[in-house]
Amino acid sequence: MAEALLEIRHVCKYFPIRGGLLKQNVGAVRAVDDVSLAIPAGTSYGLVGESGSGKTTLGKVVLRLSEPTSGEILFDGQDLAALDGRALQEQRARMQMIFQNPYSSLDPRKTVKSIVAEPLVIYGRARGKELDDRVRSLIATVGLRSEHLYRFPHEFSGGQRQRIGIARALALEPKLLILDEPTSALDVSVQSQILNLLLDLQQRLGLTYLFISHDLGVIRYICDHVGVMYLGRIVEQAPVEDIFSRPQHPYTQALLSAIPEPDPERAFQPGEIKGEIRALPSDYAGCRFAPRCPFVMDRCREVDPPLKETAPEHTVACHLF
Amino acid sequence: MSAAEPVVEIRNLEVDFRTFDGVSKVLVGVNLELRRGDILGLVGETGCGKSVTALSVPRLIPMPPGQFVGGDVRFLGESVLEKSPAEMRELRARHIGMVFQDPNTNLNPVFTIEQQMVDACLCRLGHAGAVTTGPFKSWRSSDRELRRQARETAVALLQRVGFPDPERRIASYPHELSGGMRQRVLIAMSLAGHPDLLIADEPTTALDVSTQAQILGLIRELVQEFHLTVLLITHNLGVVAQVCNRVAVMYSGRVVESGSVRRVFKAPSHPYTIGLLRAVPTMETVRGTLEEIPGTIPNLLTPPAGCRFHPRCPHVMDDCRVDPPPPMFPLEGGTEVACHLYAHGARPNLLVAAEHGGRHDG
Repeated sequence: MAEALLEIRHVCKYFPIRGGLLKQNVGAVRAVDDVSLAIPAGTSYGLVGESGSGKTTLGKVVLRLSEPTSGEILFDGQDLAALDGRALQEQRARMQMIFQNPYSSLDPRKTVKSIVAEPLVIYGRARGKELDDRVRSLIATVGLRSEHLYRFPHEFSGGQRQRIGIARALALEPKLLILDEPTSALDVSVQSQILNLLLDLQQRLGLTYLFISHDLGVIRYICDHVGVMYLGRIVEQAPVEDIFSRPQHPYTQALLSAIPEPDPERAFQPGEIKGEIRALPSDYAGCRFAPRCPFVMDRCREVDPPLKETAPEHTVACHLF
Repeated sequence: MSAAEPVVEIRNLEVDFRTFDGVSKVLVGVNLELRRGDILGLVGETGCGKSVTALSVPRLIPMPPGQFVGGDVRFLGESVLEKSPAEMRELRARHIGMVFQDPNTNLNPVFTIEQQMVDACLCRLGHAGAVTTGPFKSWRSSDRELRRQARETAVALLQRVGFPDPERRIASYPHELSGGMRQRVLIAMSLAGHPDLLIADEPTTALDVSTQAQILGLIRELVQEFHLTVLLITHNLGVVAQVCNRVAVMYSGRVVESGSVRRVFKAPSHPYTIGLLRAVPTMETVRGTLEEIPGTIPNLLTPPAGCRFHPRCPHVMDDCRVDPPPPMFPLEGGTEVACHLYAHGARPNLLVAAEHGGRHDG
């Protein structure tokens, strides 16, 4: 494997639950629990899972928008979790985030120009004529025209707003983009435009993506590696083709069978997976998927299975393997 | 399935919305027919008029700003446009059930599921008078008896839709339930009056895939059991393919293609339908080959003349740019398509053409 641009080692993020008379800690929500992954430069890593699985929290922890409880986040060989102040700010410029909802992630009172220019101004990277040129070229990169510069976000459609968000994220010439459900608020025809734009930008600018989504079709189209998350744990990790052709964890299999394919000839056989994702008691020690798993064994309820390599680069956390 | 009387018949429906910026022509001649037992998928992008079309049946379009300008909506053979408000209330309570997209906003957060379900059951069963709105209502023993019966109905319905332990958990408040459970409650509520028509407006969009699969499975079961006719609004083509038997594709206020799901998915005819089907990344899509529909949906205040899809269409001809817009041309297999390419009964091979003229950049 090539040199990893981002490597996460045993990262945990616990949110305390306070209760009782003195509002003491009575437990913790283990939103991200001992997650490790590595993303080689220039590739895309897809993080899949249902709501509440901890995907977004992990994305925020990587940027240190949320402080990790423990673990190491190595970005270009440097541990972000140990950085502070100026040094952290410098590193943050090299990784940017694109958010799910293009309606709430843009300031409605700013013009497109000032939205896209803001990161450059904050970091003092450009001013005056140069700033203007940079903004114009960024806008062109994402497929907008210079006549759009002095308009406000409400004058744009969802897809165009997402393009503005991408232009803003690219302003500081980052190496890593964290994309949190960038297309789930968009219509299919617009979604395909944005997905192709992202692929195109990755090729041209050599970007690395951490792509968070619950849409497996989108993940398959964009990503090289996939990690499936369930209640804070990565339960399966593999190259994209492997995940889709040989899913091993019962949860991955269920997730794949639950996607309705746009082909009426293909029989839809969902329902292998019962119930819903649900927080478990803080002292629960078994496999988190056990309460819903069709293949559950006694051992699953007592011992949490570690990630085990079952094929090259393919790891699964399940007692069946 | 008798093909006799259609449950819903929408003919040339035109709806305008009067806004401060001008008149927005939201629907311009929508034709739609649902026969008993149909599960019709209404597909299209945001702002194409799917929801307005569906809301025209129970006449729930907000007026003003909405306004019926032309055409007719018939439900069980009677025009809903001529009915009085009281008749409409009766129709909505007894014959039409609705499930909305966001289960979080469609349940009242300050009442328990029991209070809401019981009231819904009472209304739908024609005992709206027993709803506890007034101060001394709950004191009348006849009302108490009705409420007790309604509660039994509610529990039975919740049981049917897979709500766990309904006898106890009916006392929960909406925030104590997950999204999937809330959607089940709404489905149960909509079934209380044994409706003829179920309108489901994006019922699974706010849910996770595994929950979506469960809810879709449930809807399929209920259709059989309650002899429902369903109008399913969605933008997810996968959902349509797996649940519906017929499909109508809308674009900017008009149905541009309709037919059986099998035919439309296998041999889509309208360039927009083709574009839509190719824009979804599936398990077979090779990276970099996902097709786009260029451009965006038109502004309804100043829509393009002729076919409203022509500025984005790869097969645009001179006829497309001028009024009148193309009428529905019948094709083999019962499909109908509104596109000038089919004017002479010919069936051009668009799929091949699209391969050459599709995605230009790379």
